[in-house]
Amino acid sequence: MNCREIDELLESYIRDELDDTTASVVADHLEGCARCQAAYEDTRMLVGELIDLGEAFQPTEAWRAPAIAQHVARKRPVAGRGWVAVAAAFAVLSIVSATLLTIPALARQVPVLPVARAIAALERDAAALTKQVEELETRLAEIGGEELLLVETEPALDEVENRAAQEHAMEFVRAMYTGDIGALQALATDELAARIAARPDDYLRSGGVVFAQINNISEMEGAYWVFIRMSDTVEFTDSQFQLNISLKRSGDGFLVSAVEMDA
Amino acid sequence: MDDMMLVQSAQKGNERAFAALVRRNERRLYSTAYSILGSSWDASDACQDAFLEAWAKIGTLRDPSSFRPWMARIVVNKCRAAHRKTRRLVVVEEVPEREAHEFIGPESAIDLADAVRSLDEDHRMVIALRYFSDLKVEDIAGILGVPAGTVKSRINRALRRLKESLGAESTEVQQ
Ligand SMILES: [Zn+2]
Repeated sequence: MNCREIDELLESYIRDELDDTTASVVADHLEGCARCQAAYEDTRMLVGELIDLGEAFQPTEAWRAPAIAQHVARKRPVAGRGWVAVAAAFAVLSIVSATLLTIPALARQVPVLPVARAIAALERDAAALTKQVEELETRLAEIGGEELLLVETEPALDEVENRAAQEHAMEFVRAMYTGDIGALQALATDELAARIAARPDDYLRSGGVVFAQINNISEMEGAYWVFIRMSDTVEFTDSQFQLNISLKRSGDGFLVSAVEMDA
Repeated sequence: MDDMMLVQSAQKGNERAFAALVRRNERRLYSTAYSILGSSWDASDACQDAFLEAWAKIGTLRDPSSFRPWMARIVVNKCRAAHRKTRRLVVVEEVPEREAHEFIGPESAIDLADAVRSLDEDHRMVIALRYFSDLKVEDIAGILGVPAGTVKSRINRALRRLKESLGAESTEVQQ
């Protein structure tokens, strides 16, 4: 074996993963070759340092619980009373239901997991918001052919327009699941249509979809927003989430201008 | 007690055994996720999700001795999901000032950590799985879905690049 071939085997030799025959060929070569002996030492040292580096980052626990609370608070700037209430309620609901409470009993059973403490902190935060949440009226409504829990916030649009905007958003979501790029673009502003063309995969999702909850259209900084809570058949924690859909007026109707995905 | 006994005990529903497994493997898995994602907060979320999923599914792990590669695969999948989520987020959240970890290694390791960070994703990934998660080439190949030979050559290339960026004496073979 020449030096270049030995070079390729050094790492496996150091990790003791070569068969005996090959290992002894390498050992013999190292004995008689100063260049490869030096390369071996270099690599052995680097490998050792890399293995140590894997222990060099100690995840801190203290930040985790407040971090989730902060996450709720800094989700997005808030404007308007109705928006504050619904944004806070949805943020808490989505984090509690999707991230932590997916298997809540389980998390509590594992005392060392920071997530158990995070749940406790979140529940305190959630209690503070419960009143706000309770003040929101909810009722079942049929929207876009689906029976959904409708969260009634301070409406930004009259009833007919509100309904039209919600249905437009739901049509957009359906197109995400049918993989119909053309339909997505037709429902979107030119700007979003261009982003969809550039990165179609970002806007497509597979599996069956179940709609759970929708809010009245809220207004923020000239844009209309609707939150849709839903789940699909994608596995585990990724399967329950919320789409935040921003809409703009266009002629008699609406166009989707942005889509965010929250846990 | 070694990992294998802890796994067997956790599979029987022993929470303390699972907690011990988490404590033992937390740093290496976190380092792996941090190396893949580049964000300490995302890495921490990925690990939290991964540990919860592992606890939920530990009964399905057939060979208790393969806990580490099994766990690393879950972490990698969470990292991939985090990548997807980040890509979908249109509104970018501000970067928090604090990191989600303390660096407890020697000062001399900081340059090495920076050098690893400057590798491209494929090479960062094999370094993370090979050394931070301490896995065998075959296990890495299984997780990444590439041939073992590809993993080996990526490891060797990554090591060469690390040596170069650390300014180590060139050991290139003169032909
Ligand atoms: Zn040689």
